[in-house]
Amino acid sequence: MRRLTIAVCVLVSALACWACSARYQQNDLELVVASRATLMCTCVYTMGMSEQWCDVFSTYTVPLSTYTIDDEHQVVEAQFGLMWSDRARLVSDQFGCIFE
Amino acid sequence: MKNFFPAVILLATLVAGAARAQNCPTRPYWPTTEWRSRAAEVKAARAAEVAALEDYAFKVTGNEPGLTGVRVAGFLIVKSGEIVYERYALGADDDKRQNYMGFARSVVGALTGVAVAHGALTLDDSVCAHLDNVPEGNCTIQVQHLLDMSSGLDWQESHLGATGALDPVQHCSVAAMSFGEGRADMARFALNHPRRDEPGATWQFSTGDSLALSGVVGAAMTPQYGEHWPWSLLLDRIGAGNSVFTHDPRGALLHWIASLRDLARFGYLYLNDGCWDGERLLPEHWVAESRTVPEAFKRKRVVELWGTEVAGRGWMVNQAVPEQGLNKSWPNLPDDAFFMAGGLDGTILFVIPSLDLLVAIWGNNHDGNYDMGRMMDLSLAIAR
Repeated sequence: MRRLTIAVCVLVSALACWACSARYQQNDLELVVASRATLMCTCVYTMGMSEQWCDVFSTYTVPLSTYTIDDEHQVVEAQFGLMWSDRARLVSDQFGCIFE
Repeated sequence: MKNFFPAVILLATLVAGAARAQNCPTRPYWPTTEWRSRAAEVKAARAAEVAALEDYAFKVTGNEPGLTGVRVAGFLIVKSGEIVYERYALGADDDKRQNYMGFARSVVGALTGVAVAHGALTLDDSVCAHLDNVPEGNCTIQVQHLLDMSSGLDWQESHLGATGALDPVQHCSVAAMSFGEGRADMARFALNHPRRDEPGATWQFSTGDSLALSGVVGAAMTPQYGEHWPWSLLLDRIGAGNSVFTHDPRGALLHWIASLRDLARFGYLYLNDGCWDGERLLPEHWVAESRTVPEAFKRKRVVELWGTEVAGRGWMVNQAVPEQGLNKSWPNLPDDAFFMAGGLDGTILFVIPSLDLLVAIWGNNHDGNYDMGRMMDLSLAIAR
């Protein structure tokens, strides 16, 4: 278990700083989480597809993040562990989902 | 009743006259509310051709929603204004909307035409005439450069997973704009990049140019026509009012999400030279210009994850460009074919004026193993 924990920590660190010379602020995992939140929100609430279908659609990037759907508020929150999360919300029928 | 027929004839003459006055094509009907369909009739008459297409396009292997196999979620063929083939699978239907992702640049191109038609901007306008907080050095970028994807901005288009491997997403300008530091104001984020080349000198496939164009056009139109102007002045007019445009907090339009039938309506607008039901929605020659290869593309392409397709303005075209050693993308299709590409998983729209034909495909082919040329050959066999 300890080895697994160390391995996961190394993997996360590597992914979070894949390219320390990157020209933009957010690391890969933050971007993956953000894309997951908005694409999942759009898929469920704008495209009207099933959660199962959207799960595949929204992980076309990297299947690392998880998500929760709040149907009452039409919000999708994507997470990577406890470190990063992002939320997207349906704002209108015409403009779809935006980040909160 | 005696006065009814002369009145009808007079009305029809006036409508036809108005269409002619705007150099618009006439059609027996326009699919603003519904598409007419001959699909059942065609299926009966060309059973073998339909079976061949379905055997190829709707063949699923692996477990749902597995990622293998040649497969599409929706397929629509429109010939001479009527549906001749339509089928959906995998939970999609004629009412469900697909996120067309990169297709948005074609729609933003059309919206630019609407703005030009309304006198809100010209193609020679500097971006700085419409947007503030753009570096002075980038004020030489004009609307035409953005439409041509020749802004010269130092942009990295490589997208999440585009190589099939874990790219360093941090390097990707599109990811930073869509999901990172640029997401609050995408147009200015794009226009605040340093320049790689002089505007108009080189061509690069750039979602940044498309979003910058969206921001410029929105800034020119929204104060006068309100934030819903893309619908009131274009999408509602062609019956695609149920389509969705995701946007940033400043109003720049990012992804267009629409049913396959609405996608076909957009194609039908271009098939009819930017006219709809006798009304010219896009300026005269706009569609022809959209199908013209920009000089910057012929001069020098900044090739980055870009294949051998030839760009028009907001569209791809089926033309050879000898200057770049590029042949027609689809040898079996007529030279006048043009198409929207950049959607996920093989999603595409073909417009072929010489055949009066539209082919709209909602792809769901995650492993990218279907042959689009074969798909089109099978489509042409049905639509011949």
